[in-house]
Order: sequence, then C-alpha cells, then structure tokens
Amino acid sequence: MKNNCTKKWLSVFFTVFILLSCSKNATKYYADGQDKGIAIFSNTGNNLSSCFIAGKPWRTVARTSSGFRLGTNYEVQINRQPATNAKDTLIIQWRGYYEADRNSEGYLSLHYAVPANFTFRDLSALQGTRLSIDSTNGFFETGIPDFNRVYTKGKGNIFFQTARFDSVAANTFTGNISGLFDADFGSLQITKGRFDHFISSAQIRL
Amino acid sequence: MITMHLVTTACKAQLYIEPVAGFQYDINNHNKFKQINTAVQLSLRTNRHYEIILLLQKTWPLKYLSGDSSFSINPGLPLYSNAEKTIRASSFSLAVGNRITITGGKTNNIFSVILYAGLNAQRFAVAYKYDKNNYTILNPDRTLTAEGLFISGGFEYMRKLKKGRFFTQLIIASTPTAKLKYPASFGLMAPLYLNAGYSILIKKSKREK
Repeated sequence: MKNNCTKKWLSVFFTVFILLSCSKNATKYYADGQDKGIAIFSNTGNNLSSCFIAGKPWRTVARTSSGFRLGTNYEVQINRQPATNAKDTLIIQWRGYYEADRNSEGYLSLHYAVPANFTFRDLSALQGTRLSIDSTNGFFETGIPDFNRVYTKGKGNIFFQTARFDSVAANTFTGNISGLFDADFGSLQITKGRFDHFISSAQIRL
Repeated sequence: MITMHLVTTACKAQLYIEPVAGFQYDINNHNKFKQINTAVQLSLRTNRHYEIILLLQKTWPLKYLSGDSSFSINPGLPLYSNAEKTIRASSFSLAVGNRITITGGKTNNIFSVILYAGLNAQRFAVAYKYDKNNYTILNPDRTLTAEGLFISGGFEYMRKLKKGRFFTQLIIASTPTAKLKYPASFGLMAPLYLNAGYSILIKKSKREK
C-alpha cells in the first residue's frame, strides 16, 4: 500500500518536472563571419540583438518560453512612456549580457521623443529611416553590471530596416523590427549594433 | 563458392578506365551554379548487358556573381550600398554505379541506363566586396559545406570504336542527404550533367577478344 503511494507521488513529480522543464528557445543565433563575436544582421525574426560594448561582444538573452503556462522570457520591450511636456517617450529596451560572461546581465535602451498621439502606424512609418539620436530628440542608455554605473544620455544613430506593426485587438499590437544602431557615451562606445525581433503583443505597449 | 564465382566473373570481365569531362547545371537553385565536371571511372564489364562502375568525380566552379543589400549607420554616408557577392560552388563525389544496356548490346551503338549511389560533398565559397568598415550586409551568406549520400541516374549513348569506346551521358543527381545549418540564399545542389568520356580497355578477359 505504502509502495503504491510512493509510486503515485513519484509519477506526479516526474510529470510536473517534465512539464516545467519543457522550454522552447525562439532565438536563432548565426555568427557573423565579418564582425567576429556578434550575430549577423538579419530581418527574418531571429529574436536577437548584438553589438560591441567597449569592444566586447554583447548579445540579448534568448527568448525562451517555459512549459505549463510559466510565461516567456523576452529579450526586448517597446513602451511609450507619457512625459510631462507635449512629447511622450518611446523606449526600446534590450536585456542582454557579454558573450564571455552570462552573469553580466544588463540592459541597453533607446529613448526617443514622440508625439503624444503616437500610434503603431507611426512606429511602422519608421521603416527605412535612419535617425540621429542627438540628446535633444532622445538618447541611448545602458546599465551593465561591471561598469557599476548607468551610462545615460548617449548620442548615436539607429536605422530601422524593418518596422511593421499591426493592431490585433484594442491597444494590442504585433509586428517585426530589425535594424542597426551605434551609440557614443563619451568614455564608452557601442558599435556594430544590429537587431532583429518578432514583437508579440506582450512586448509592446503604446 | 563465392570465391569461385568471383574468380569466374573476373576471368570473363573486361576492365576499363574512363576519363570523363562535362558541364553541369544546378537545377535546385534556378541554374545559379554552373560547373565544369571531371571524373574518372573504373568500369568492370561482367557481360554484354551490365557493367559495374566506381566513380570519382570533382566539379570545378564557375563563379556566380550577385549582390546583397548593405546599410550604413553613419549619417554622413548613403544609407544603402550594393555588396558584390561571388559564390563558387563545387563538389566531390565517390560513387558506385551500374551501366545497364537497354538496346544495341550486339552492335557498335549502345544505349544504356546509368545509376549511381554514393557520397557527395558540396562546398559553397562565398566572398563579398564592399566597404566593410562603414556598411553591414543584411542576411549575409557565408562559406558553407555539406556532405551526405546521393543517388543519380540518366541515359548514355556509347559508340564502340576500333580502340576503346566513346560515350556521352545525360545524368541528373539528387541533393545530398544533408542540411545547410545556416539560412543561406541558396540550397544544396541537384546537378544535371552533360558528360562525354572515353573507355580505355585496361584488362581483357580470357574468353572474350
């Protein structure tokens, strides 16, 4: 009787363990043959951003979805933040780490001033445009653990090769973004940045 | 018993060496990749209707030129530039084949079916010409290799000459049983060969003349 009970609990434990351990990686990493250490520049929905920060290869975390409704770990978020003046701020934030140190998780973000009535159509209109971020219209920011500080107000450039969004329900959007970026914080440079993401409705708030 | 059979077969057989040259199109990539084909075959004629072949084949690439999009983040430069891309696709095969006579076995004009199966290795060498300091290529290709099993088959016309045999072949091959582990703009090759070759008798049987 006791033996049967143990078997039942063991089977329940293993079932739950298997369900919890099932995870899917939606990030595809293809190494760039030209810029060693980072991924290729793509627009095929590889769900990855990579660049050199202070010359060291940096990449975003893998987009992994756990089994049994435990949610998805996203590498990028797009949010519109209301501001006190007439302009709101569009924030694209990437979470990632140095290739050589997976425990160095930090972030890199773009803050870009947009009109208060900015919609997903305006976001789609960025496709094909190259923006100079000059601290009057926005800035780059990065927080990496080994710097022990947040670098903010970085100038730079961003190019949206793809920016395609659709409304799938009220205030719910999905789409794709891909492009290139660089940033200059004075004592710190971000170079050769590239990004390629499918954006689900959980990753965007406008 | 088996040894006896082999000895008997060897005694009756004629052994040929066959240098082969030709041209091939890749029908799997919209004829992007064209190659010069060279091969050497050892053919063992066991009877009037059948020969077994050992094939060693190397194809030499003709370069395929195309362009990819590259973009610059530098506001002082044009956003877009064309990156010149050169792909050189080549392959190497080792296969065992069968030459089965359909008609004309007793004449000087022989029509046969050719079937091969073996190993095939393909290599796609990719090189770009562009401003590498200021531009980044979108969805770049890179040099890739793949190896796997393949089969091929086709038809052959052979003309018996005073010395040796001349033949032409039209053969189509499958892609190797492998996958490219990279999102390239091309797939593995499935070539269509047009070959010409010459059979040189290197060992005459004891019975036949």
